[in-house]
Amino acid sequence: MNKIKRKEKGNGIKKIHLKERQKDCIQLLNEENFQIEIELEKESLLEISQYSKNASGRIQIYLKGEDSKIEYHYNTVNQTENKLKVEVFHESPKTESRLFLHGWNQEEQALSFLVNVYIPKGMHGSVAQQENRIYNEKKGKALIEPTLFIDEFDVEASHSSFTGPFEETSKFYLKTRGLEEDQINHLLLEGFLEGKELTEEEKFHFFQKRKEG
Amino acid sequence: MLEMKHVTVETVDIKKPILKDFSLSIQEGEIHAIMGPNGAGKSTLSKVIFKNPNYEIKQGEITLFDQDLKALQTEQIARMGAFLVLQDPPVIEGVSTSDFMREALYEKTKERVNLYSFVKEIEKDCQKLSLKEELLHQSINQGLSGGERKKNELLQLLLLKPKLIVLDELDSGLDVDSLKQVCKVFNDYLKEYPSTSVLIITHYSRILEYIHPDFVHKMVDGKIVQTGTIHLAKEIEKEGYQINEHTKEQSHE
Repeated sequence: MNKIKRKEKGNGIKKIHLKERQKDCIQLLNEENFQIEIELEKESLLEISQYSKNASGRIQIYLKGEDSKIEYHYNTVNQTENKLKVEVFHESPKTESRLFLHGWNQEEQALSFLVNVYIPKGMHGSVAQQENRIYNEKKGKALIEPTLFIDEFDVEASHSSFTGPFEETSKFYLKTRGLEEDQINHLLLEGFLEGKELTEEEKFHFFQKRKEG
Repeated sequence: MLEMKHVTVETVDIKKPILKDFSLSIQEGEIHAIMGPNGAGKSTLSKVIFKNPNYEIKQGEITLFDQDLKALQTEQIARMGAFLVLQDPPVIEGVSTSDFMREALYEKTKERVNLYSFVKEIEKDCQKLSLKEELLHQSINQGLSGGERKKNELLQLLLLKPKLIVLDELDSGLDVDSLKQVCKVFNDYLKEYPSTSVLIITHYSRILEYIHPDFVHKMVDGKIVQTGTIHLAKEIEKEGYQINEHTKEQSHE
C-alpha cells in the first residue's frame, strides 16, 4: 500500500467508501466531535491514522466485501470529558479489522473507549484485532470496554487493554541518561501517540509540546 | 568522586532498610567491585547513587562530584557525568533509540545533531560491539536479546563519555564471547579516559577477569563486610559469601 497519507479534516460527519480493490491511506485531524462511517467493498484496503484532541466521536466500520481490510490508528489527547465509540461489522468472510486506539488523558477528566466488534455466523476466516491504551497523566478516569460478538468458529480475534500512568522504570531509565521530565514525556508521548507522522507544527498543536529549537 | 559515609537507606513503600551503615569511597580513576549474594543490597546501591525515587536515604552522607546527593535529581547526576548500566534495561515502546540518544547527547553538548550525522558518528561504535545499525531506528531495546541490550547500554556509554560508571551485573545475559567483546570495548574506553571511575556490581568474579578492579568489596546484608584486592574475589568464588569470624574482625578494623 502507498504509505503516503492524504490529510483531511476529521471534524463533523464523514463518510468514506472504498470501491472494489481500491486502496487508500488517510490521515485525519480533528478538534471537534466527529462521526465517521466507513464502507469497504470487496478486496479493498484502508489505513487510517486519526489525531484527535478534546473530542468525542463515533466510528462505524462496515466490512461489506470479502477480503476487505481496515487498519485504524486513533490517537487522542484529552483535557475534557470525552468518549469514543467504535463499531466494526464484519459482513463478509475473510474480512480483517485491526484497531489501535491510544489516548492520553492529561487532566483529571474522563476518557472512555467503547469498542464493539461483530462477526456473525458464516463470516469465516475473519480477523479482528484491537489494542486499546489510555495513559492517565493525572488521576483522571479511564475506561476501556472492548466487546467481541462472535458467532463463527473460524475466526482469529484478540484484544489487549491498558490504562494507567507511564511506567516509572522507563522514566527512571531515561533520567539516568540526563533527560528531564518534560523531555521524557515528549518522547514517550510521541511514541505512544504515533506522532512521528505529524509535522512539528501539528505535534505542537495537538500535543502541546515544546517546539524543537 | 563518590563518597558514602554511614548511609542507611530504606524502601519508600514498605520502609524496609536495605543499606545499613554503608560506607564507600571511590576516587578518580579507581575501579571498585562490589560482590555479594542475592538480596545483599547491591542493585539498591546503584539505584541510590542515581536517586531512584523508590529509595530514601534515612541516615548518612553521600557526595558525588563534590556535591550533596540529596540536593541532586537523577538527570542532574547523569549530566554531571555519571552513567548507570542497568542490570535489566527496559523496553520502551514507541521511542526510537536514535531519538533518545540524540536527546541525551543534546543534554550533554547542548548541540543538536541531525539523524544522518548521528548515525555516521555512531557507526564505528556499533561495529565495535557487533550491533546492527538498524537498532538505532527501533524502539529502545525492543526485540533485543539480553546480550544485545547490554551492548546497547555500552553504545550509549561510548556516546555520552561518562566520568563515573556503575555497572550493575554487566555480565548477566552475556555469553562468554559477548562478555569478552563488551569488556574489551569497555577497557579501551578506560584506556582512552583513564581518569574514569568505575563501580562494578556483580555476583561472580568472572567479569573481574576482564575488567581488573583496584579494590574488591564483599557486601552482605546491606553493608561492606570485607575489602581486599582481586584475591578476595577469588576467595569468594571458592568459599562463597559466608561471614566467618575472620571477616567480622576485618570489617571492624
